[in-house]
Amino acid sequence: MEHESALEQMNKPAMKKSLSHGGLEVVQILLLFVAAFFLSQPRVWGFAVMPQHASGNRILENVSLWHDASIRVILAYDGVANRSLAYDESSTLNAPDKEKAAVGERSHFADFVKTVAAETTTLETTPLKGVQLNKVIGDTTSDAIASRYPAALREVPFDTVGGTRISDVVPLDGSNIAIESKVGLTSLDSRIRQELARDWWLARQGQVNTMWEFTPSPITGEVGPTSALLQKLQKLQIPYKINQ
Amino acid sequence: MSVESTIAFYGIQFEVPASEVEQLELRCHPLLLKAKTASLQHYWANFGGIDPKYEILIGKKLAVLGLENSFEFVITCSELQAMIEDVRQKLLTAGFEDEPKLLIQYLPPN
Repeated sequence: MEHESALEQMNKPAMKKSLSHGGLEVVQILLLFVAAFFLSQPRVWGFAVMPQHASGNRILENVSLWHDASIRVILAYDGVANRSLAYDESSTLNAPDKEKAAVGERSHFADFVKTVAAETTTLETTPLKGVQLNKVIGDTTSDAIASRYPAALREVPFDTVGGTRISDVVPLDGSNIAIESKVGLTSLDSRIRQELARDWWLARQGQVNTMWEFTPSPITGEVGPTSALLQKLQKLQIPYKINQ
Repeated sequence: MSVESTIAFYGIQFEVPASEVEQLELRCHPLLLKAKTASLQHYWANFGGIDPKYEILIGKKLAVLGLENSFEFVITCSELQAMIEDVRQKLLTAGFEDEPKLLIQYLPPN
C-alpha cells in the first residue's frame, strides 16, 4: 500500500503538469515542428529503407502483393507490372522472377504502391479480394493524393441541389479545389453522370472546383476516362489529370 | 473514388460486354433504346469495380441508397403492386419477355 501510495504521489504532479497550459503549448509547438519539417516530405508510410527478405501474399487469383519490410512493395500481376514499374536491380526480394518487379523512383504509381504498403498488415492475415480489394486500392490512391499536400481532408461532403457530393481529397491550402480520384478506366455510367452534374453545380456556385485525377489500375493497367467521359469533362469545363 | 451505394430496382437486368459500353455511354445501346420506347427507366454501371462487370437494369428505379443519395426508401404495398403491374406491362410493350424481379444491387466504391 505504501508502495502504491508513493507511486500515486509521484504520478499526480506529473499528470497535472502534462495537462497544464504550458505543457499543451509545448506539445502544440512540437506538433507544428513535426508538421513543418516532415509532412511536406514524401511519406514512406513507416517502412524502413533497409531491404530485407520479402514476404508476400496472394490477394487475387493472378495478383500478389509482396513487400520486403522496406518501402518497396510489389504488386505483381501477369503481364502488367513491368508496364508501370521500373525494375530495380538492387532488389533483394525472394519473389519468383515474374513477380519480382520493383517500384520505380518517385513515380506516381510508386507512390501509390507505397500507400498499399500501409495495408500489408491486414493483407498478411486477411487476403483481400473483389470489392474489399477495390476499396483498399481506391482509398490508398486517394491517401497518396492527399499526402502530396501539407494538409488535406479526405471524403469531404458538400451539399448540392441534387444531393450530397463527397469529395475524395480537399487540400487545405486555400486553393478552393477538390480532387476526385479514379482508378483504372472510368466510363460515363449513371453514377458518374450524377457526380459530374454535382461537381459542375458546385463549381458554378463558386463553392469548390473539382479536378478529376485518373490513376492506372494495378489490376488491369488501364487508366483514364473513356472517350465519352473525356468529352463530358471538357464540355463541363471540369479539369482533369491522367497519371501514367 | 465514387461512394458506394445500393440500387433498388424492379425490372430486368442484363450483363453488357465491355465492347458495348461505349453504346451505353452514348445512350444508343439497343437495350436503352428499347427501354426508352416504353418509358422505362434504366441504370447501368460497372458493378464489379476493379474486376469490371457492366450491367444494365431496366424497369423502375425504386431507390439509390448511400451517402450521396437516399438513406431510406418506403413504399406502400398498394403502390408497390401498382408499380409492379405498370412495369410488367411496359416491359412487354417494349418486347422484353424476361420475368421482372425486385433487384437490390450493391454498387462498390470505384
